[in-house]
Amino acid sequence: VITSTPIPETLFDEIESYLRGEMDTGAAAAFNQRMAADPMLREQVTTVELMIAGIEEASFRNMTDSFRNDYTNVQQHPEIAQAGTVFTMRRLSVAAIVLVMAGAIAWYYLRPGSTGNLYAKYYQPDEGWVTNMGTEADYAFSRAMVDYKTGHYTEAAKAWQKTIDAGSQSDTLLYFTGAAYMANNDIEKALPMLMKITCQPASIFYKDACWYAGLAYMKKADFANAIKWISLSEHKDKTILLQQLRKK
Amino acid sequence: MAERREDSLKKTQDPAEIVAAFLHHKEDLLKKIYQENFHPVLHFVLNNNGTEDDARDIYQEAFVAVWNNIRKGQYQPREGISIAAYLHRIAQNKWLDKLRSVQFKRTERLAEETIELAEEDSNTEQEDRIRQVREQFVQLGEQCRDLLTGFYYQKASLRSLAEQRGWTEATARNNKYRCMEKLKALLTKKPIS
Repeated sequence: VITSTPIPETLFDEIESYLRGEMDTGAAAAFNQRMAADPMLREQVTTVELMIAGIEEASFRNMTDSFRNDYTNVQQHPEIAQAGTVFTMRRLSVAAIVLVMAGAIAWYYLRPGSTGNLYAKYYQPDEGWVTNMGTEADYAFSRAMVDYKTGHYTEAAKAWQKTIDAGSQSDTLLYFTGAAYMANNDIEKALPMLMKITCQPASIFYKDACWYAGLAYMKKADFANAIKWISLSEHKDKTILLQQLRKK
Repeated sequence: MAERREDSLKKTQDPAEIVAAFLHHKEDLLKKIYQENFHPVLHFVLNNNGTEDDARDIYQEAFVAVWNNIRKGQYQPREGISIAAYLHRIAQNKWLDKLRSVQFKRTERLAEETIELAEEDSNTEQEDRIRQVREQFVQLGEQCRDLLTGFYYQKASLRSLAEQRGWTEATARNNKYRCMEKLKALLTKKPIS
């Protein structure tokens, strides 16, 4: 604590002499005894000690500030410039690798006849289902269908997934949840939903599920499964797409 | 890397001489030490989400911390850890602390865990008081700052300070006292006549 109590000059000189180790042993011992018995003196000693420490540190910092100012230009110091160069080169190398990989991926998917290109050409999201907003149970499904039909696939998938997680396994729900994931470009989540319908030949969604499952496999470059499921669909583009897939 | 860091300081002086340079504020040698050991800290900060300015700020604080620890007797030259390595470790710990602070909370990469340094000062209350003194010290007039710096930091005698200013030694002593009272008044926000 910095005391606000005035420190008389003679006492100040005495405290300073004590702190600087300029007292002889006897005087220092006597001063210690006075401090032990006098809290105010202890406070005054602490105050002077902190002030001296602060002055010293301010002066030392002032000196290091001048060192820093004399040493601001990294370019003048080859070893530091070299460190910066190594660092920059490392970043540039990473950037170059990322660019090459991005280019390769873009080329792979966009080249004529590529899987990515075929998928983009033949995939169209299912247009959705007529909503009737009937019973309360239907309401949640229908509300999500509105999201789906307005292109809010994430919201639709989230709402339908919640119903599935609660135990519902209707083919309509499974199919459109798969369709929403697929429209959202999430093939890994779409495929399990669609595959559950492909086990149900009696479902009104069976043929469509086969088509979309085939497209999903095609996107995953699993051409055998793509051909298998597209063959089971009745989509108008099935024949021409199968011809192209069989060339893979 | 550590060997290279330590080698750079060996080029300067032996450990005892370096400690003496810190204790007696030998500016030329301290400047050399300062310049020779910045590189590893710069390298570390640049590779851990920092900028060159961050490196300079952290290095400045680490250099002051080393000086404080040496004068408090919390660092003694010994086998296994040179001042160069000690300086680098303190800077490293300070940077890691900063990365963990709110400003850098979203930063994910931390190169290493904080290195244990028993010698590092952690008396934050006292540091805070000293910081207050530093801040008020710069508010003092230039004459007072020069006189107090000469006596307390440069360890000049009252006689030599008096001679430089054309004063008697008694006047120098009295002026030093008045300057200290001014500083204390600034710290306690009390006007002084």
